[in-house]
Amino acid sequence: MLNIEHLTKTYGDKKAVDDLSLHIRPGEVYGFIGHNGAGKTTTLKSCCGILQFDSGSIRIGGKSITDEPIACKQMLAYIPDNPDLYEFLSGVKYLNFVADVYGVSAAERESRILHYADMFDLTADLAQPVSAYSHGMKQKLAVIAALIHEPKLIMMDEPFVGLDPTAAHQLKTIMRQHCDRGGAIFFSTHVLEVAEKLCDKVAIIKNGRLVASGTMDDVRGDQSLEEVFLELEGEANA
Amino acid sequence: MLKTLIRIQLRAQLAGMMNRQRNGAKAAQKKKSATPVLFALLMLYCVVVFGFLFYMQFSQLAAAFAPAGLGWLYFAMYAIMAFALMFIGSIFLAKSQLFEAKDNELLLAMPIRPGDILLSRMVILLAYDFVFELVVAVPAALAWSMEVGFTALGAVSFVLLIVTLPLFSLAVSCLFAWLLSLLTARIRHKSLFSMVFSLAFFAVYMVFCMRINQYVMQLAANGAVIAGKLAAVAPLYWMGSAMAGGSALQLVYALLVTTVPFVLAYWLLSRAFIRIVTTKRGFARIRYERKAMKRASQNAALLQREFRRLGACPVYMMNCGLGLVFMLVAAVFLVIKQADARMLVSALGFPAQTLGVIGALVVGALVSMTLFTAPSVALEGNTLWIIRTMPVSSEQVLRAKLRMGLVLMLPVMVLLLAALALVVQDGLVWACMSLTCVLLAVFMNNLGLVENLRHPGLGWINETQAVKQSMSVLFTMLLGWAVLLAMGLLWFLLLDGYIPAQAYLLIWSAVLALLTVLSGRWIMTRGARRFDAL
Repeated sequence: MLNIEHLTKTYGDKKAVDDLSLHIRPGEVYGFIGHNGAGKTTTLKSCCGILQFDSGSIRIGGKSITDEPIACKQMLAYIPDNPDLYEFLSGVKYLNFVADVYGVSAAERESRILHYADMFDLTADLAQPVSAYSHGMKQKLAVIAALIHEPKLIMMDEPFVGLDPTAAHQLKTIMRQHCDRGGAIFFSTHVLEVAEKLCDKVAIIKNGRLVASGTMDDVRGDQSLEEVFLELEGEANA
Repeated sequence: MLKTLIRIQLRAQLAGMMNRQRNGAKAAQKKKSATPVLFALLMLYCVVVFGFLFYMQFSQLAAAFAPAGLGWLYFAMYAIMAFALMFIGSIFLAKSQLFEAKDNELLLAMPIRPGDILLSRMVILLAYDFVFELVVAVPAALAWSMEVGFTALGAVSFVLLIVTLPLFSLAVSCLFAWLLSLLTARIRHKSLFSMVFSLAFFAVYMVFCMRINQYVMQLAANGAVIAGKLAAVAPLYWMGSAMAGGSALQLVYALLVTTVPFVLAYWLLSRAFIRIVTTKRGFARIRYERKAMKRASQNAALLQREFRRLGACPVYMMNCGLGLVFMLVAAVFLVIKQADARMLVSALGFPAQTLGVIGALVVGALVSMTLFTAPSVALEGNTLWIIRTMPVSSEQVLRAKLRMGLVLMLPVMVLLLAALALVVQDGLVWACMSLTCVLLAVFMNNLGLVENLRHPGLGWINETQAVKQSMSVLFTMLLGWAVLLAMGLLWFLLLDGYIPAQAYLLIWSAVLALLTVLSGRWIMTRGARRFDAL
């Protein structure tokens, strides 16, 4: 579903991502872990076509994000770490706009919007302007917008930040269901417990370089993910 | 701390004006640009033009008042004009800078006194006020020096009051801005209210500007009578008298009158600052009621997005759509007062041919004030990621921006051109003029987008900064004026009488068509690549 090969992205003299390769298959919840500034967001943004990268290739569903960006974007959804949404629209108008752009039929969008809005307890607030939403409500709206066209691949940057425990639980359920239906999820997180419980595979990135990746069992062995992460951080710092 | 805050504010203002890139690395890679120098030159040009206009007015007043011993009235008029310009120039800026800045909550969470945050923002507004004031003060001083000359006390008073008058204006505009933000916070249709308020405010201002000559002449003719009435307004009298060389006591009174309101306003606002900027008022909760949803095409959705952004932002509507309002007013005026318009045209004695060129220049001037595309990329701001992750091409997004400008501008322009047919009665000249105007509108629409893609400025603190203080808006307007200047000068200085106006307008139509095609191609190729790289 998502093939990243030798991805390199520099900002000035700093290599934010250095020769990173990752493969995410359909049905996988893939966690992406790393310290602040490790290159997680840069990788995610490169994958969804927001950032132009220096070298390497990114393929989504077999198509190159550089050569066929529109076809790739039709297959994916992205939720950023900070949900800056259109404050000049109401929640429902924002969702309708997203549905229009992705070509979702009127009947499908209506049922999906109501389904997910009910799930996140946002239905009553859909007519409110986004500017009146709290951070958590905006995050919920961004999640619903990401799900509205049933993407094959969802990329999320710290998706649980700002969500209340119920919404976080709902999101985890949705993530699992999405992958069980054959979709794939690639998400970054600092919450290692969540990654440990939710992810089929995990990748750890340090200073733009991949330091470990594989199934959860392969990466952590007999230890907890936190212990492995701290160990790898320590090795890299030594 | 205050110094640091002021420095940050200054940097934010400068970055906003220069439309600096959000991406630091990209900015670092950019070569040193001549943009700041160009910007300063353009500002200087505007200041000189407006200064000259004020000089003409003040010369008339000085010539009338000085012999009548009404020096104090001359300076009172200067104070009123300077105050009006400062107040009009800064009231909306004060509202957005003081009470709607995105970083208010961030700063309030830090161990900084609210008064310091407020003061750092007021200092920036004060700087703007000084610039506005100098546009009036320098011509007023020059005109008085040429006609009469300052006494020592008068000169000292004038300089001191140059410093303190903006404080008074700032106090009034900050309090008005507070009132305005209180009102808009409680109203459901904020944009509509702000738009109507702004238009009403602007209409009053325009009426004042259009009648200023009349006022000046009335003042000059009835100086003694007006002086008698105004003398009752003690603060004005003290100010005017002090600058005209009256007494030191009057200067002290004038200084107190201008500074005390500022101190009071600052004290009041700094006490209420946290409450003002953190209290969310009047969000009447709208409960969602299930309605049948409709599907729209991608392009229709993108166009609708542009319209909704415009509709939700009064600053965008007012600053970029002013030309449209004028076009509409002009069309209605021409229809209702067509006899007067025809009489005026025949009184001016322009031949029908020249009338076509003049018509194109007038409509062109209004087009140059219709700049919807010029801040349209900048207004994407932090939400740019949304469109960038969607399956739409940059070309589609840019096309929607262009389309919005044309959808708004062309129908109103057609109305105006139809109304102009009542005055420009030579059918062929009118047709050529209309063609030129339409092509100019399409070109200006393209030019706005080109400029904004060249100077995107996505890192604004509030929308006012993206719309009012952006390099792209200013450049688009000035480039439009340059085209009109070339069109006017070539005709009136060189070609009038040598070639028919129809041919001249057709040549310009061809030039504008070429420029439109070239700018359109640039937008869809290099412009789209620039948009991709933002």
